[in-house]
Amino acid sequence: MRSPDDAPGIPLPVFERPGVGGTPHPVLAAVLAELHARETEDELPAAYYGDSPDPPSPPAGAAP
Amino acid sequence: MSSDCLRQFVLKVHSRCNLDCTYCYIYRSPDTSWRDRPHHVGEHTMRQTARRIAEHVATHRPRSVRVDLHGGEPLLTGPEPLVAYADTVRRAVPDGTDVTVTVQTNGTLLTRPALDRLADAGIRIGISLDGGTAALNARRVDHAGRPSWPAARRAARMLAARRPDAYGGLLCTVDPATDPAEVYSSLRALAPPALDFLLPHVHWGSRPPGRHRPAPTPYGDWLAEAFDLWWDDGTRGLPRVRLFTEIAALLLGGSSRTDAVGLSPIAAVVVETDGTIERLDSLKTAYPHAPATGLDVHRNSFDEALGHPRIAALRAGLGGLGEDCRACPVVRICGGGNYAHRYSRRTGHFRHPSVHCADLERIIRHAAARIGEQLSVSSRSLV
Repeated sequence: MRSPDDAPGIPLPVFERPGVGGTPHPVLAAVLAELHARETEDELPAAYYGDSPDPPSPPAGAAP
Repeated sequence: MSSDCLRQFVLKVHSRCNLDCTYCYIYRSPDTSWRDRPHHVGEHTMRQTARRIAEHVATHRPRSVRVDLHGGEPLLTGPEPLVAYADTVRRAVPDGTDVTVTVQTNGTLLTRPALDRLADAGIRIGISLDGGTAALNARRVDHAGRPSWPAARRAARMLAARRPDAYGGLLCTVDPATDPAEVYSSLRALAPPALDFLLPHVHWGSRPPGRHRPAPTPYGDWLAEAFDLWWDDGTRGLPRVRLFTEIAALLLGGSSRTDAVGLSPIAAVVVETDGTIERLDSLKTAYPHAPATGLDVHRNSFDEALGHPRIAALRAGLGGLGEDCRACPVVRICGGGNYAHRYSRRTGHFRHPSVHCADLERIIRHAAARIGEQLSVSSRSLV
């Protein structure tokens, strides 16, 4: 089912991002942990070719 | 912080494949340069490629680089050349930069000894599968039309049971004619640590199959349903789904690490079996020699590749997009989608929205809605 906001031209929301461990939702928690790890890596953003596996991700809530 | 550089080296080990998948973007594309390549990479090219990677790393000092052993079907060589290539690169790269090595395979030639050999050498293995049943893999056949599924299933099961430490994950090309719930659950049953759903490599001159359907976003609808299955999956062993993770990361203000979405510069190059340096294979779908740079590891450095205009075009971010994209409120998430999907035969260039534009917007807005159920929205607009 489509969201009421699912229409072309409408700006996307900007979310208040909680810290690591700041949500009980397991998938969101994993994404936040991964984001935190990336942002502390001190590397410039880079996009990788999608026809290959990624390196292992840190477990949810893991320290960077 | 390291300087901007290439960080992913897709090294072709074999230029042929034992399968003849109906949607293959390498062997069923306008670019047929694979016919002119040596079947397998030689030792001299391996050594020279490794020297060039090391040279690039020494200049830029990235924290890590990825080496992806690819094909065709890389296991047509057996495991030893893969291990040799990995070892050659690792020995050459200076200390201080991690080297992760993977192989992407159709799985049909992954025997138990080969698995152990690769895993013991620290090489992680990804398998391409379009689902976890025979019917879902009907398009993945060999040159005689025989299904690859039995052998591929055996490989995936063996990886999960015997060497989960080496299990890189499964890559699935989306087919909107399938049931996303069946695809997701059957792939989950193969216990991958990671999944990705790839949109087919097509462009405005070769529309995606299914576009005739009444719904305007068949791929987006499929992905939205798969997203819900993943987002709401509370069971143990939940795999990381790359496309969805990257979309969520972007929606949360981060940058992406995939060429499928986001504006991050592409950090990958391909080295063919003869040492030729090329852009991504997905560009083979556009026109003959679309991936070509005219460079090779025997005569040129990866710094020269980094500065090549054709590679710079893949790293241009917002500036490389057409006006329609730059004005769109979704652009900082979709990034214009995969570069190859923007090509138009009519204009001969890539400065168009993705042929999957509407589908990308569909899944992005859907993901935003699901995230919005969990998080507060700030007052700022993303535009």
